[in-house]
Amino acid sequence: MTRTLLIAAALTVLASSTQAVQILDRFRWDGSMRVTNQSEDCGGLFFSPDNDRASFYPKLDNDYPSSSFTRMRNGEAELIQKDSNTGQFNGTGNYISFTIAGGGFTKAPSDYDEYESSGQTYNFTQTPATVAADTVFVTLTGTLDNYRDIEGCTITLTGTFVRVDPPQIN
Amino acid sequence: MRFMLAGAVAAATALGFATGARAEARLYDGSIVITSATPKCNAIGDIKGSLRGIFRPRILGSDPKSAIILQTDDLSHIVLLRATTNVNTMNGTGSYLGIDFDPTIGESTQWSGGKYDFSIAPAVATVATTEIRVTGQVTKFGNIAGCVLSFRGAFLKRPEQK
Repeated sequence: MTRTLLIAAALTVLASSTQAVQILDRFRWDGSMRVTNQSEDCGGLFFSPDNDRASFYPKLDNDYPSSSFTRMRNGEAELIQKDSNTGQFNGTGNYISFTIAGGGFTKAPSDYDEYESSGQTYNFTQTPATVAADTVFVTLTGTLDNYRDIEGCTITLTGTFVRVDPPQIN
Repeated sequence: MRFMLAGAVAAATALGFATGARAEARLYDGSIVITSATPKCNAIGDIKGSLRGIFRPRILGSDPKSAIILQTDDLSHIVLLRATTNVNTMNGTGSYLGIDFDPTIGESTQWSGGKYDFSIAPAVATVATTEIRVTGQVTKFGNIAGCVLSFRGAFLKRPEQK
C-alpha cells in the first residue's frame, strides 16, 4: 500500500515536472502590440495611449496549446486564444479572451454563454502565414470582433514580434 | 518601466545635444533578444534573454541621432547605443557612443570606441514606417574590451508622437 502511494506520488511529481519542462521548452515571440482602431460600439474603452507589451505563441506542433497572444497594458493582462486547437492566426476563426483586470478574471464568451454565443471572430494577417521554429520575426495585423463580449465592438490590432528561443533545459 | 525607458531617452538626448533644447524623437518600442555574448561580457552580468527596448531612427534632420535603448528586466541596466554620425537607422557598420545607467553605480557610465554591425529593415525609415527589425552585434558592449553582444529586435512605432 505504502509502495503504491509512493509510486503514485512519484508519477505525479514526474508528470507535473514534465509538464513544466514542456511549457518552458516552447518558443515564443516577444514584442509590442497596439489597438489602432475600434468601432463605435466599443465606446472608446480600448484605445491604446501607447504600445502594449505583448508575446505571441503560435501552435508549432501538436505538443503546443492553441495559438494565442498576450498583451499587458494599464494594469491588465489579456490572453487571446484561438478557439480551435489547430493552426495559427492567419485568416479567420473564433477566439476566446481571458482577462485579468481590476483584481478579477473574466473569460469571454463565458462558459455560460459559450453555447449560445454567436462567437467572437478574429480576422488576422499573420506574416509569415505559417510560423515555424526558425521564424525570426512575425507581424500580426487584423481585427477581433465582439471584443470583450461587447456585441458590435470590433478592435483593430497590429503587432510585431521577435523570436525568443526556449531556455536550454538539462 | 516605460517611464524609465522614456527617462533614459530624454537623458541620452540631453547628453547628445549640448544646446539644451529637447529634440523631438520618433520612437519605436518592442523587444530585444540577446542571441550570443562573448565570455568577456560576463562581467556585466544581467544582459541576457528577452529585454524591453526602444529603437530611435533619425528620420528628420531635427531628430536626435539614431539609437537603440535596452533595459534589463531586473532594472539593473538601461543601456543606450547611439550612432556617432547622422545615419538614419544604423543599418550597416559604424561607431557608437554607449551610455549605461546602472543603479548600483548611481551615475551613468559613458564610453566610446565601440562598433556596431547591424542589418536593419527597412534600411531607411520614414515617417510612414510602422515597424523596424534589427539583427546584429556591437563590440565593446558595456565598455568591456572583447565583449561582443549579438541580438535581434522587433519594434513597433509608438502612437501619437509629438
